[in-house]
Amino acid sequence: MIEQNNSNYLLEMKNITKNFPGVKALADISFYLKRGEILGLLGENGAGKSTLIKILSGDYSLEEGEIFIEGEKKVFSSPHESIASGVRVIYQELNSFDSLTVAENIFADNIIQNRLGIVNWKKMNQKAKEILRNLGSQISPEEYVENLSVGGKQIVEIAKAIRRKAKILVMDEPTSALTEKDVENLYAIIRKLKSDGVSIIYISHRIEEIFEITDRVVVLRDSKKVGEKATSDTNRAELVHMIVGRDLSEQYKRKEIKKGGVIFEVKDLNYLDRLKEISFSVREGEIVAFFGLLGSGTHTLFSVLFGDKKKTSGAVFVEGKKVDINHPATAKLNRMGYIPYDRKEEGIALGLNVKQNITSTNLGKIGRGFMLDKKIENSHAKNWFGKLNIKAPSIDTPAKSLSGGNQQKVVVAKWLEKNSKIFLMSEPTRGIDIGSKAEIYEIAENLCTQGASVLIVSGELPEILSVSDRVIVMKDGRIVKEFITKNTSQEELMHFATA
Amino acid sequence: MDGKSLRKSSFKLTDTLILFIALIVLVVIFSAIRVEFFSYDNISTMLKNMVITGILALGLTPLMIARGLDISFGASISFTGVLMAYLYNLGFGLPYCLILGVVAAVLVGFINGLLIEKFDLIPIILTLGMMSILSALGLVISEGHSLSMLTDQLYYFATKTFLKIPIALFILIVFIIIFWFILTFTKVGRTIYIIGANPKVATLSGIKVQKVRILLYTFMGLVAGVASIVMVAMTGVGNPLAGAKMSLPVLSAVVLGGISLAGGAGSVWGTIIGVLIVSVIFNGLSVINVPSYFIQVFQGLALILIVSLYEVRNQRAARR
Repeated sequence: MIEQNNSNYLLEMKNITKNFPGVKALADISFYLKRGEILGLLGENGAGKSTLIKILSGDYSLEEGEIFIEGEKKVFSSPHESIASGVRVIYQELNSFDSLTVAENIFADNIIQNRLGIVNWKKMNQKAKEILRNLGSQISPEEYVENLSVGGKQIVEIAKAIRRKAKILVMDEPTSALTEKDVENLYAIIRKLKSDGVSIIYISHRIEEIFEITDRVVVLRDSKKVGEKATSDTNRAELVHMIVGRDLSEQYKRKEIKKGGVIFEVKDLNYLDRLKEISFSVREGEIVAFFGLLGSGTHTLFSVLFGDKKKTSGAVFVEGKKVDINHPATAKLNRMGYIPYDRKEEGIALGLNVKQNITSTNLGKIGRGFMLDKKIENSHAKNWFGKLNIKAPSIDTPAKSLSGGNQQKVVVAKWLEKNSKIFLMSEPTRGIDIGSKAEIYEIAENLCTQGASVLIVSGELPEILSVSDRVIVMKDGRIVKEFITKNTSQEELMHFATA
Repeated sequence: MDGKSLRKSSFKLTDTLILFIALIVLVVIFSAIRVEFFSYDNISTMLKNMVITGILALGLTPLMIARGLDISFGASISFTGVLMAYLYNLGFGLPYCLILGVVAAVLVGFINGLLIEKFDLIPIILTLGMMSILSALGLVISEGHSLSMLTDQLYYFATKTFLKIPIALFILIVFIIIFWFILTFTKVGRTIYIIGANPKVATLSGIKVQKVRILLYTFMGLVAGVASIVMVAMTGVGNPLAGAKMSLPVLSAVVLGGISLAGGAGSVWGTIIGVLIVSVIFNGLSVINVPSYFIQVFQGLALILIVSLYEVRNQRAARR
């Protein structure tokens, strides 16, 4: 027997509750989604958004509550069943097959073949092309996916979902790695899908996007639903208030920090053909931002500076002394610390607990000689755990159960533990919630008051303008222009990054 | 216990417990089928035979936690044994033979590590190649025969007991203590677990991952060298085929003990229980007169079963 429910709604999730050992991850959450509607799902990291989505996608089993799709009750015991019901999640980390063509990706689970089991390329390319053109995209079905930009890969993922007749598309932070132009492209596609009757659950930390693209918003906080509004009936301040549960000053305001002498200097640095003639210097107490579009070399620059990639030529000076950094260990010795772009794969070891991550940079000091002293370890870890306000049950909590913002604080703590003075932060607030963002900025600022320097790569211009003293704009592996932050604007920076 | 707290602490404890219960059940079953299984003679033979499997499994433990792998140890034992016996028959003194043998084994481990790490090779392929080379070299030196190496000292070591415990067993106990100590209480131990958890994160935390792993491969070479001495002592010959059958029981034991091929997890106690279970199965099947070819079938099946069970369990845990 099929249970029926209000079939005006394409999707309805009712009284969803989910418990993990020791934590209530979702408490009695209900929401609906109409046909052709774009619903913004908001909330700090750890608020329960991903858990909710994983229940919808069949990754987590449903314990309490009900899911209805087109009025029909559904129980998903695997992602396949969810996909078959028309649900498709496009994750932040795209899982496309880079070494295959666009058409192969779109038809990955259902390659078109003739009766002998031989691939019918012509038909498959033709059909892939139809789907892409329908989305308003000019990508060639015969292109290899590895040659596409992040935005292009995303479109391929969407095309894949459309081919499987997806009715409900969940997009998790779709714009976090996109250039402005790709974002516009994506919006156009989303609007097209909407007009075709596809419904979209849109997860983003960027409030501007919510106003730009969504019809309605649902806000989660501490595992509960705290708000539901038509987007046109709300405003930024109200949303921020719902998300963080307190008022947050709109933009982060900087203190004036006294600058010291030059602590870090780079002269004529080259790396293969990806970085060319990079020269700049940073003073004590300074926050210098690097801005550039995808492929501009900002991320590469940081991996080279930290010794993860070996520079081709050029010189680096720390406190006036020339240093040859050919391994992160050397960078560490020179009191540099690195907060990598890919937090989960490069920043934090998810299999270790909080304390083991924090002390991982500084084992030399945790006990005498060869011995590891657990007491010293605990006291060191507790120190940063408290100072950085890391929200977790204890220092023995596995890193993987922390929210993104708290994981990032652990990564920062690693380098504070090592007493670093020059911090390289690659998109330090990527994918983390508003509250934690502000805390990360505050940490960066406090570091500077204590005579440290911070280098930040960021793609978010408002962030750059509010935290940095200087901005260095990069394009095609070169520095194109340098600005004093207070003398420049978003438009000007964007102009030089794209010009 | 640190090795356990590092990953899924609550699961790990019950895992070790489950394995321990499985061990006891096996002992009871075999004893019920044939009382001789539980006799002093059989137990002491079994423990003696366990020494070589045990120290090899221990050597593999830190290496595999750090996401390395070596399958050439069996061939290394054969080669080292033959080399020692060959030198002995040329008239070298016993200490020189043993030292040169161990040095050769250490060198093999070092070369494994150096090539794998510097050229970023897949460990199983490189050590497979090394295995082939060493087996062949052993056969070349010995011309395909076992070379005898009977000395009073080795004979004494292999046959005498102390407090009714075979002396060889003390070697295993010393190894257990050393490995447990290193993995649980030292900075090197912690470094190994950090590398296993995520080598990239470890590198970017300023840990010299390559260096540590090369060290672990070299150490594995040392362990194989020592195992080879025990082997020669117990058999009185350098046999070019002696190590060939070691790979399967050792790898089975290590995997059974909870070391994941994906790295990061595992402990000395898990490995030891794994070794005990594998030894009991092997010995028990022999005692109840199962033909030895069938025993190998069972070993292969057991390995596949273990890996599958762990994999199913991991997937369940991921899905919750």
